[in-house]
Amino acid sequence: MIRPMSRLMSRVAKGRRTLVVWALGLAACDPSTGGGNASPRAVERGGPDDTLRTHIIEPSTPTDEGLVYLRAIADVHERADALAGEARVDALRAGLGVPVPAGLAEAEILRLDLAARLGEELMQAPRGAAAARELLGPMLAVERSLPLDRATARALIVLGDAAVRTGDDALAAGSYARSIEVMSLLSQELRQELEP
Amino acid sequence: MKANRRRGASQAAWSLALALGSVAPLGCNPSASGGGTVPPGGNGNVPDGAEPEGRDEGDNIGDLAARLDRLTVEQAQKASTSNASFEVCEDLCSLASSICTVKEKLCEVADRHPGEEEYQGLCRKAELECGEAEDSCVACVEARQSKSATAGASEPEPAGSPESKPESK
Repeated sequence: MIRPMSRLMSRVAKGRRTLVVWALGLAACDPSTGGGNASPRAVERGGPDDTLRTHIIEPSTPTDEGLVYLRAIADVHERADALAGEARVDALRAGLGVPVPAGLAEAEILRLDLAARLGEELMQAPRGAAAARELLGPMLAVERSLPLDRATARALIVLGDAAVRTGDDALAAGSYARSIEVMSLLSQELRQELEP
Repeated sequence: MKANRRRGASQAAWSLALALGSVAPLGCNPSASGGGTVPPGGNGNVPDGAEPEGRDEGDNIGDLAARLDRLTVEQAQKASTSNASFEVCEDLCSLASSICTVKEKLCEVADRHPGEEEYQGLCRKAELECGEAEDSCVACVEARQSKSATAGASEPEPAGSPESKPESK
């Protein structure tokens, strides 16, 4: 069961490093990560908030329902690859509507990656930045704990870009800073792997 | 990624097992070292003047073939380890590149708020993270290069050569 799962994940990834990392089972981070530099006073004044809470996504036990979900998401990406413009946006949006089976922790990463891609697509359209913000803002709210994964970093960058376009510098700076923090944590993780 | 490393280790283990399988029969060849257990002191049924076991690698075609097999296995093992560290370096450098790109965006935003410490602080922090990430990338690549150089230099040397240098990390 594990093998088809990995093979399918690779298909889902289609060159997306994040998903490859997922398929290979990267599930280590500092769960105590949090904080952020912004003082509550600064945030109250409408300044940037770089609060970041992260959690580990442990590889779940493969199930039939999980495989069906992975196949569905792989199909969404494949369909989107073959489309363009509004049709691609629709295809990606439909992917976010696919029901997540219970117990598939990795779905959080897949959904974030899908949302990041959708956000990038939305940004191509006029006034798409506001739609991207609407989509990603709630998913990446500072109150939420985010999976420590490159999909999270990617989504935060898109949110930052959307915030810049809509003139919200505080959200942009906070999102970029959180994205950098996620990537730095991933980088630390890799450095630890190099330790003898 | 760790799983990847594990998979690499498993592949290496399989390669090693296969290699040992092909090398072992050569080692068991009675002509290679005489075979059997030889009591020290020369007071057994072994004729005096027997060559010490395992010292003479010989220069006949069979011995050289065995040695070539052994070195091929060692090289494959080194390459496997090297590939794993290559992937880590690649990931580190890719992350460093992304961090520094986002740092640029963040500091551009901060530039629009020159008097606001919250923005300036985030930009400074991003610059530090970018620098650290780039240093990690460079260190990883340099360590890998020196590892390869060491492996390359020691390749013709027999295993355990005093010439082999400790790995720099």
